Amino acid sequence: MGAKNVYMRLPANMGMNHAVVLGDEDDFDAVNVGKLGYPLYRKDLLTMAVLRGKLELDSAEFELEIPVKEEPASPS
Amino acid sequence: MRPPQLHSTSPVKGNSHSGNSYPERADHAVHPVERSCDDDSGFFDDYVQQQGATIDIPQPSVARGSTIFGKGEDASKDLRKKIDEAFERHQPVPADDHEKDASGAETSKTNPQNYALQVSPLLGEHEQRPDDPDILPPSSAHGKAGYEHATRNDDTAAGDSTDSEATSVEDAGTSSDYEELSLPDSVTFLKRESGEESQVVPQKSTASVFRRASGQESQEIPEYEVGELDGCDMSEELQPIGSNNAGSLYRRTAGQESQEIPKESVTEQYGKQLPQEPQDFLDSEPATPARQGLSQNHMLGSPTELQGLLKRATGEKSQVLPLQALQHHIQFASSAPEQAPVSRTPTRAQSSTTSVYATPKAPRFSSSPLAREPATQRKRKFSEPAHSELSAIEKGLSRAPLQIRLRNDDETANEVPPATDRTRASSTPAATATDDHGVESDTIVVNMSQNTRSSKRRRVQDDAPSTLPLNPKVVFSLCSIHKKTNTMESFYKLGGEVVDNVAEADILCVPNISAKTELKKTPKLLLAVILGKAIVTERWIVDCHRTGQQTRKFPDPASYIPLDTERERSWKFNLKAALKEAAAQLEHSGNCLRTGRCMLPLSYTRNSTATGTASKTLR
Repeated sequence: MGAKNVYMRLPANMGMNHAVVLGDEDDFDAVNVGKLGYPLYRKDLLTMAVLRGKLELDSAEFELEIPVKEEPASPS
Repeated sequence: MRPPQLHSTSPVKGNSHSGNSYPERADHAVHPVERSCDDDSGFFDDYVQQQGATIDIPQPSVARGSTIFGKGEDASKDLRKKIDEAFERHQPVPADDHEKDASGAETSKTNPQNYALQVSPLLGEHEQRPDDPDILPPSSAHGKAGYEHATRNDDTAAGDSTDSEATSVEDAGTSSDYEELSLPDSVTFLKRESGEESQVVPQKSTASVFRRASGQESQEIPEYEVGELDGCDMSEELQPIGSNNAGSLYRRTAGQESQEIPKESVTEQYGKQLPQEPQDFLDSEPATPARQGLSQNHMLGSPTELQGLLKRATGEKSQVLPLQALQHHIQFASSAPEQAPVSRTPTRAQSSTTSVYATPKAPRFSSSPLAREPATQRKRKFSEPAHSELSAIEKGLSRAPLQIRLRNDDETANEVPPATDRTRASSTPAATATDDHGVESDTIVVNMSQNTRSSKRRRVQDDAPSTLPLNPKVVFSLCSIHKKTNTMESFYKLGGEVVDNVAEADILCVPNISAKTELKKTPKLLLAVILGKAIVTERWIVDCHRTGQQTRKFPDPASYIPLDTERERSWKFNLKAALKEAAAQLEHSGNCLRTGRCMLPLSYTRNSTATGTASKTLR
């Protein structure tokens, strides 16, 4: 697949190219992932990539929607 | 009443009357020798079988076809005397016992050898039924009418032959010494007319009672137990021995061991008909009496049985002949010239018929396994003399002794034809088997499954995976079969090992796929797919236990890939294709490692065989 490193936390900066973030639905860090500008994929991406023999990053089958946290309006 | 005369052309003249008519005799005065021949033959058989000896009976001096009449009581006593002498001496009875009349011509009126002459031949060549006007009435039960009828017809038939009545008639003055014997109804007569000569021979020899003409001594000869011993159907009709059986007898001149083999027998055995033998065997349509005897054998009844063995039961001992022996005979016969050398002529191959067969100084073992005597024909009492014998008689070699040899069970045990090298090579060594009677017998077991086994072995070798190491390491995922020691024992005996790390393993074993058990994406499974490890189910371990002991090989893991169609459909993948692709990629990686550089560009397209769809380009 060409992966080099596996990190257990979100990258601190946006300097990482070609980062694949795997998550789950209702993930707490999904918003942060969205803030960083990375797409979020399901964890089945890797298993299916193993079974199918290809990494399907463009497929909507494994991509999760990043929830957008709506800040409450200020009283002012 | 005149005695019957059946076209006798014997040159022997003695105690005969000239003219075409026989002297009148009182009823029950003359009994034909044919009847005595029939009974005497049975008597010969049983008596000599009891003695277990060889009887050498001189060949009679009368020409074949002569109807011989002997004094009842005198003939019986004389016959008894001759037989006793023959057994005591075990030597051929001198053939100079023929009586001579006043004119010096030899006669055979009371010579017991004349009875043996009646054993002669030509059965099946020209058969006549009792209703034939030229045939002698089979028994006295038919009454005098038949007797006279035969006589009248014989007179008319032999009207132009003055010699016909020469050898057959006794003086009318001695008619009181004759007593007519009752012939069994089953006795029929065969007649053969070969130009000038004719002879009446009994077709069947099923007479079981031999009664002396004098009535003082009577001996009951039990029927042959051949059918019971051989397990054959006794209800089967006895068939006359055909003329092809002429090779059963051959002439032996007095004091010499020269053998004259009739051309017909040689040609028949090694000639042009031989290439048809295999087909005859398979079709169970014997073309010759020998084939017929073989086909009548219960081992050659069907092509399926051809693959079996030729079993021969002889009462005390049973023997099994290898099928290769028959094949060898066929090959030998097909390769033999049209006229085989005399030394290799197995006369018994043609004589394969009776318990009485003339083989003086015959080779103990015939070169052909077909020389074995068929069991169903062993109950025949009469064998057809060879043409050489007839020719010898015609040539005046009347004193050539005709040795009639009776075979017993001991001889039968020894008469197992020595298997040729070819047969030995293709058959397993002789083993001792036990027949139905509980008697041990020599058995040659033919390994007919040799080819099948070799082909099976070859198939196993072909199916054996080439990538599977000799000592495969197996890792189990969600399995519990490795806890079964009995099942895993065979796996360990075959050289298998169990490891915990997939990277070290060669095979990943997963649970069997069933309705309740589905394929799970375990880390070991995924890793095994990535690493191109073989994935099998637990059935592979079970088959190692079942077939591994026989084949000494591990089953092919490719046949035990877990197949979960539902999961594969939902996951949109094919496990088998994924494994192949992974293996190909690993091979590529290995090549890259060996060469030190990647053989593929940085971005390449991978064609997915699982989905058939196009690929995704990696960046």
